[in-house]
Amino acid sequence: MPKLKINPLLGKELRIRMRNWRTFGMISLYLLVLGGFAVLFFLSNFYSLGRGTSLAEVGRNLFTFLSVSQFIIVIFLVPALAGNAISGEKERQTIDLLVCTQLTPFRIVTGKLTAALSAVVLLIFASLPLYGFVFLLGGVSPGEVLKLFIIVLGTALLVGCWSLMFSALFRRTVAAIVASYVLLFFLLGGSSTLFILLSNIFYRTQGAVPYFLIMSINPLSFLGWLYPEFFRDILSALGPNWVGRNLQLWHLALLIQGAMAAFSLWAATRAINPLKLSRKRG
Amino acid sequence: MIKVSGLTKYFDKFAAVKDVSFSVEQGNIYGFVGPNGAGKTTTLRMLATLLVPSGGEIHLNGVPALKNPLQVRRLLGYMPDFFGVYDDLKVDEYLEFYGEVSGRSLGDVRRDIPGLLELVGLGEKRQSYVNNLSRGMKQRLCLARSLVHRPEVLLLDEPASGLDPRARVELRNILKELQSMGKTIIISSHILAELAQLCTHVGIINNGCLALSAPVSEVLARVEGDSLISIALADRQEEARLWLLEQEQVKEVSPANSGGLEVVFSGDRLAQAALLRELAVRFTLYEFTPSKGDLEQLFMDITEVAENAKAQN
Repeated sequence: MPKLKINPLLGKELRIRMRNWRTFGMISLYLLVLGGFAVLFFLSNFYSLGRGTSLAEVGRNLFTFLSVSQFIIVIFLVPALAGNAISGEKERQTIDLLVCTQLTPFRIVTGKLTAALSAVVLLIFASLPLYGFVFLLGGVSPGEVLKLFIIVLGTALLVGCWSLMFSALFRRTVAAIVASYVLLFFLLGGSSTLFILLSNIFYRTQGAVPYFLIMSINPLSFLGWLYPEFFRDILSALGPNWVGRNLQLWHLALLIQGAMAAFSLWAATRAINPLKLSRKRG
Repeated sequence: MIKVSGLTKYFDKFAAVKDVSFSVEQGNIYGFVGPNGAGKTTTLRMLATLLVPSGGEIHLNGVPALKNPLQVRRLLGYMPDFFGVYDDLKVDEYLEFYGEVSGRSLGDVRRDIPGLLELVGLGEKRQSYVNNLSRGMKQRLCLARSLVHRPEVLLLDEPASGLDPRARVELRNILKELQSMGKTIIISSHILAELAQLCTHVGIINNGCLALSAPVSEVLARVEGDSLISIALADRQEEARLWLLEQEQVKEVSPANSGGLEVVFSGDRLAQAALLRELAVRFTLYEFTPSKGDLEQLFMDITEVAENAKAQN
């Protein structure tokens, strides 16, 4: 049987990360925030039980709350996790030693990305007991939880790609992380603001102008896979032309943000390849 | 083994390295000497495939460095002048990591680690965290790292900088041992005298130009004119002074500030050895130290010529 060979860079990153108190601090804080809000949310719903609200409905509401919270927490954590991946090596003066090995720039970038995503996987696993509690209440299928985890991990991958690109482009970790958050805020908030402004301008066109496509750069649109009815309601309010088609907003989002991620990986790979860099300079 | 021809590097319009050519045969130690900013590090970084030359070619074992960087990286171990370490790793984990990313299997690396650590004098630090090592130890660990994939060529950029005299001697011994193992070494420094004790060949670089590239014996021959020898005796100093003045190649004998004698001697190294032998037979000798200042003078002369040429341009 062939032996599973993991990227040595990933092994090293995991070893260093697990020896650091910050990892345990991050997981503890994450669970405290997510669990704390989940308990508060459950208690606020608990008292409406017997007044027309079933236990399954409370479970469903709790899942919705948990899924959106987890999604937002994770995408805001990823720039912090991936932003120092390569700039940290530059600051530590270890990047030359790494480049001078048999690792290709692409393997260095993917090793670093996998290491950042492994922390997200850890966070997902750590949150499993919370979802166990949701199952206890009912109203949610295991398939939906699986979908959520795929969405969280997938979005983390996409956000991680451009965070890594900034990490490769900038010398300083702080600059890389700030640039990642600026882009994240633009994609989340900027696209939403543009969407609202454009919808005010083009409302009368009844969907003839597909301005809502601006939302395809918003990572939140991936939640459309989990909550299609919510996104369908928004789109149907805009006009009939774009409702009921097989192509959904998150499909387009996957295409556009996937292309962004691929470009970011290419740019990161190029940025750490000294032979490509100095050709340009020298 | 290593062939560098017409190597040139421009940073915008500034020429950091200009038309540098030299070659190093297997098992030789080539000392790369020059003042700060002379182009030593730029040259070594080009050899290590970390910079693309603006012109010229580099071949390692006949492999063109720019066309096959991965193949060349397998052949060489590089130790930069400034480097960092992963503080949260243990010494053996650090070497295992670099061994693996250099294409070796973990099992093979683990088998080699004890020997490597013994070689660099860190045998007892295998389980220590890198964070807890002193600067000299980190320097030696970095040397072990550059050896972990069994490279044939070592590129060491000022490996002795920041080390105390004892650590420098230890480093020199390690490099000699590596030479005896058949490794080809290119080492840079800004102290010619330090490299002359270690290297088989020396290249002096200044303002990006290679001013001299020759075997150490040739370089030493250039400086073997009159030399100053410090001598300390247990007794009969006046008798020794008179005896020395009778010797053919002794030009002058004068009392030294330290209490011994200073001899201006015109003979070469063999003649110095003969003088030492005769002195030791006749007198009780404490000290016989030929001055090493001449190598430094040669370095100053060569770099001064280049500076003057630059000023005239």
